[in-house]
Amino acid sequence: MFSFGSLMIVFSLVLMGLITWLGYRFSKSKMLDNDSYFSAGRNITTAFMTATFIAYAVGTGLIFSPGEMAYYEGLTAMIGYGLAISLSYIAFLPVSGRIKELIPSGNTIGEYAKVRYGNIMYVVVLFVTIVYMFCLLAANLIGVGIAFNYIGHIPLYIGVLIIGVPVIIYTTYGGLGAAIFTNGLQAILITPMLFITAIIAFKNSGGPAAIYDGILKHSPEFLKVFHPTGLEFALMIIIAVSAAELLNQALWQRVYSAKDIKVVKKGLLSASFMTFPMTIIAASFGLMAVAYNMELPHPSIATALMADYLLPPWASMIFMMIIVLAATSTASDALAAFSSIASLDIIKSLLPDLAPEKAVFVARIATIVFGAGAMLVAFKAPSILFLLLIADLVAAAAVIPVIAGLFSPNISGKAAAAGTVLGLLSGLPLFLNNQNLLSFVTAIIVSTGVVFISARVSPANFDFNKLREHIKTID
Amino acid sequence: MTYSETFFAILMWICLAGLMLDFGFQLWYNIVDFKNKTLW
Repeated sequence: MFSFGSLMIVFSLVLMGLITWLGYRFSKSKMLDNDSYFSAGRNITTAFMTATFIAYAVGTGLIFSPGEMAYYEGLTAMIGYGLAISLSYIAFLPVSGRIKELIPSGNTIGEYAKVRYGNIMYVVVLFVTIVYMFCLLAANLIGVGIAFNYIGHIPLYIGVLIIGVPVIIYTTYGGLGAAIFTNGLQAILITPMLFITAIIAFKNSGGPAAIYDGILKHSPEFLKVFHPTGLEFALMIIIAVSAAELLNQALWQRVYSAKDIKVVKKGLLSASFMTFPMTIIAASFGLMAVAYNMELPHPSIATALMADYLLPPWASMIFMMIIVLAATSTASDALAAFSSIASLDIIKSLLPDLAPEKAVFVARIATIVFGAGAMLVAFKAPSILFLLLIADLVAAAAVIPVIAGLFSPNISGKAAAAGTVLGLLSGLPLFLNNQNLLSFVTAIIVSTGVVFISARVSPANFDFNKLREHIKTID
Repeated sequence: MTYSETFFAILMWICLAGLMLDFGFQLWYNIVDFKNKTLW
């Protein structure tokens, strides 16, 4: 008889094989020109736009981290995490409109930063976006690895490879189009699978009343609305996720890939509502772990461990496939985002006359290298939440300087770069000293103060038409 | 101030129902775009 772990490998390989094959077939038929590799044809409509916003959010950042925080901090932290993802999409609404209006032919955040602010801020933004995409990719691979390890008793590196290699293959071949197309499949599969497994878990745990009683028995402080550390975490995660998503190359790419701004706004609004129940239900497994007084062998494993404990084997396998789909969807988005940065920002800066075909080739090589690097980090399996928070802090220092530059012509490149660096230098020591909320607030306040004081004292008077003039498609 | 058992139960059931609404909307968007020949 096959072990659960062996079956996990088999089902994962079948699922990944199917997604890779479909992603490859789609890319082969739809990639009409070199620009399509980076922009998916710039004609994505509502169904796929909504699906890709959902699938991007539903990675291990949604499946594991809310459960991790619910386990360690309780109900307020859990609700905060649910609101964080939804509010970040709402916050991105006005920004997306401005991006589509000013930079209709864009591909990356970096090219905007270069034209708007010059080379220094360009390098700073590249650093921020690369760190974020790398942490996001590694975090998702870790999620799968630890699920394979702790649930299937399979070595962690096998789980990482089973997901990492196919994702690298189809994203390398098909670029953003492959990522968005497979997101469409992943989103529509994850939702009913999560519903089925959650219903069974609730039934087997005795329902919300029994879970509530268990929390009351083992950790009654988790049920306090103003539980200090839970509230602090909730505020921090709302700020952190919002900051990070405003500076997310994957989201900016989706704005560029959309048919028009109405599609973007409909997709963001729909996804902001749809991701809230998904986050709460995934996080509730963390609360179930509290109710059952579960010990955790890894901080990020609460959700998967509890699902495995409460579900019959067939349903537990479905939950493992949710993890595979979730990690794959966000991993491919992070890879596609990085490939654009590597080719169109980094290499094109060094080789300005790079031909479009060569740009695609460079992007493919970069995808492989980036993916391999993230897999190496994933083998070490640090906490998913810690990795994501580091990335969020870096983004928090840069978000106001970058985003304000879309609306105010008065901020100069030097001010933006100085604000970002000073914000990061102020926030990082606090973060490393476990003062998480204060670190994010400090990073944002410092960077905001620097840019707005500078805009008052010596306004730059930037002409926004330059963005449209200088940022074109690659073909 | 403490979350009540009723609040917790309502939150869980609303979110479970929300998952099915999510699925319904995703199907609907796909059907609409397919009918309009704008799915991709």
